[in-house]
Amino acid sequence: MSVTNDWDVDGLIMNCDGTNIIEFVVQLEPVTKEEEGEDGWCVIEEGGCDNFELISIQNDSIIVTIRSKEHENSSLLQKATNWLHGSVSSNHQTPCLSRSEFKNLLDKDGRLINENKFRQYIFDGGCDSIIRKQVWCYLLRLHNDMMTNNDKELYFERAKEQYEMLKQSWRLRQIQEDPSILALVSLIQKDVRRTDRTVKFFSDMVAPILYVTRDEHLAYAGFCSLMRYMSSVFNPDGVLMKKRLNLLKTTIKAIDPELSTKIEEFDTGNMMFAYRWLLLDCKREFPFKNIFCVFETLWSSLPLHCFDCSNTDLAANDLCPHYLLSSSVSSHEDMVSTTLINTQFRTIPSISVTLFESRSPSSSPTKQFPITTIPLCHTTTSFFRSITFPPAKSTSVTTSRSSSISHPILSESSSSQNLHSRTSVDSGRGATEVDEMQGDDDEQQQIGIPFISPLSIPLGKWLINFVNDIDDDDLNCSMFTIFLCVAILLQHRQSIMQFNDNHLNDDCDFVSCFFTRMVRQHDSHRALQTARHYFKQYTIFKLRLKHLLSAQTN
Amino acid sequence: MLEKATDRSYGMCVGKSCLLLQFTDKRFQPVHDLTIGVEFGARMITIDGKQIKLQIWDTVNIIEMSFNLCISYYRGAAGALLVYDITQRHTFNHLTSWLEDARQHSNSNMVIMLIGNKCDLFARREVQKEEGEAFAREHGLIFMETSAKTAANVEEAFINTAREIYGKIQEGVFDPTNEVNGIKIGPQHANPRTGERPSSSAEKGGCC
Repeated sequence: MSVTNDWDVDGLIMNCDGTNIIEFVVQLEPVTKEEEGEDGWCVIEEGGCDNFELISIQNDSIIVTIRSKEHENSSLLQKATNWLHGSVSSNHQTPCLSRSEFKNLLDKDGRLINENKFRQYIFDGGCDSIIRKQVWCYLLRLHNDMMTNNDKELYFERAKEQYEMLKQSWRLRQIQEDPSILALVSLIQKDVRRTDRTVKFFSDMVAPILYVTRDEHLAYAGFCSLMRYMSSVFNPDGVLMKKRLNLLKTTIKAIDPELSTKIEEFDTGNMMFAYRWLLLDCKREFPFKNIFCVFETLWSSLPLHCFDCSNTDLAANDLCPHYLLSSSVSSHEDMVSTTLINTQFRTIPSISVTLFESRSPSSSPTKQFPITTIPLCHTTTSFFRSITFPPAKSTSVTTSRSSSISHPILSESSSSQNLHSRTSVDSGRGATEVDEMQGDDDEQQQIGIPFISPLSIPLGKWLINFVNDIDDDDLNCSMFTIFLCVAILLQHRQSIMQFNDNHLNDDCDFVSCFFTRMVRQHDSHRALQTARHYFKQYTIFKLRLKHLLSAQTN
Repeated sequence: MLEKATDRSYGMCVGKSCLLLQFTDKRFQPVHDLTIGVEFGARMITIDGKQIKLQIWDTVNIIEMSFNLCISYYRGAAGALLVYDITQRHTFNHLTSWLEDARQHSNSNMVIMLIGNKCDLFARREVQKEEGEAFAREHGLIFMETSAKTAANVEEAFINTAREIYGKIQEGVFDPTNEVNGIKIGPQHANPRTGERPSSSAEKGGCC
């Protein structure tokens, strides 16, 4: 629709239900200083109006974000765009999902009302350990949003029956000295004896699940789910691992070139020290008690289908609910709600996918965020050239300057004078912030703030490598892990930068030796904050890219 | 029954990580995390008055790792410690295939030391010392029995390997200016006593 004056804008905003995004295309016409204010438009001052914010994206488009009203939770996209223009500060630690909040996310029959919202909660702050078992059942897709309490009960029952059956058959084969089972048993015993001895008798990836579920059959079911997502990482051909290693290298190079150079200089092993990080999703890098929050944050960032069994691989030794509840494994079929059997499991996109789809004009009919007008006529390359990231909002600075809104995307050239003159003012301020914050490193370290550096990240240049892989599953399933690894590296930035070839008597002066010794000692809280921060940036970039590409094809 | 199972080539606990820990930290940790990928250790030693820095890669079993990883293990290694467990015969039986693999992917001059570990457990010995010696003689390897637990011969195993590498440098077999050989000369000005300093992946632990 065409907007010709302030009143139209007001009207649009008033008619917004609080979950919408309005995007404007601005037809730029040269305006002279004298004419300003005489054309029925006035520049909305920051803070003058409290329920929406403007950001300029490119020379000819502006996003208006409608802030949610009080007591109303903001949508994913709102959160993302809020972040995009700097109003979400990375120091703000979202509290974990509590039992009562979780209860509110379920309807009276126990169905999860809004899976995306639920996953966003978990992504932002993890969950209370009291509800962790239930939360993990959802994250690992042992439950889905259509299952009622009865369905869940039934699933537990059947999973247990099925697991007991499987266990018996394995025992039998062991007694019959089936060589393949014996080999597995010995392998597992070795693994179990030598990992996570603090938590007795578990191995790396299954240990946290068993610890949380306290239930052998659920742990098995969860582990099966997890392996659907992870098995390609463990594939002996090493293809995905190689991909992950390269991703880590290019990402750290894009985020912190100085650190990347230093690592290259002092690491003879081609970042092989990160092999274990990437293989086990950093399981061994944090203390055991902290790994739960790391895993749930990571899992909530993944596309849901990672954990779902496809129809083709419904194996009898897998305990996925789709199979157990729809097959005639036992005779309780009448208890299963009909929707569960008849409906194909709805695939709910991940946080990032939701963002893309909601922004894409050609997206599914369930589009949640109508876009009034679709801008953008730039080519992909110029789009990326014009993007710089906002100064990362890390604690000390944010709190002291919470009133300043810095524009995240600073237009390279500004042909307008109206709104864009404000952009350039703000871009100046943004740059100052960057400089100041870079000088503040020591202060940041002192007060235990996640060290985020550098503050202006040329991720755009780097992301352009993935134009063709935007829907690549390997990439989508690896990025959070990659950012977690980056976060670990940044955590030790200071130590690494101090490595010196002259420290001949210090036997730990190589990056790889250093990290070998840091096993289970990294700070998960800080690492998660940093990783979330980068993941959001990455998500926004992909969103913009996807939007742009679809606009181009139209 | 389980013995049969471990006869497969998986999950061998011959004590590689424990050997490394004993060498770098002079301590023994009876239960060590199962190594994943590769772990790293380093220590300075002195040979003929020259300071030499050993960088040691502690690897998983060759068989368990992916091809890509395998290649980078060998690249730039000047020496390798091939470890078996004297109390587990099957770890000894796999030496041949490991050796073939190592020779195929590495520099032909790579110094290989054969190590029979856990010699403190003589009561449970399954592989006689003479067998180890014979295997080493046949394939041109240096041989030692060690115990990561009591530290017997651990120093010697690493230092002798380094000495052998050093000898090859003196003879001109290894070109220390070429880092592909896994040897790097330290900065002369930084430490006048340092002649050659095998630094880059001087030794890599390995296993059958």
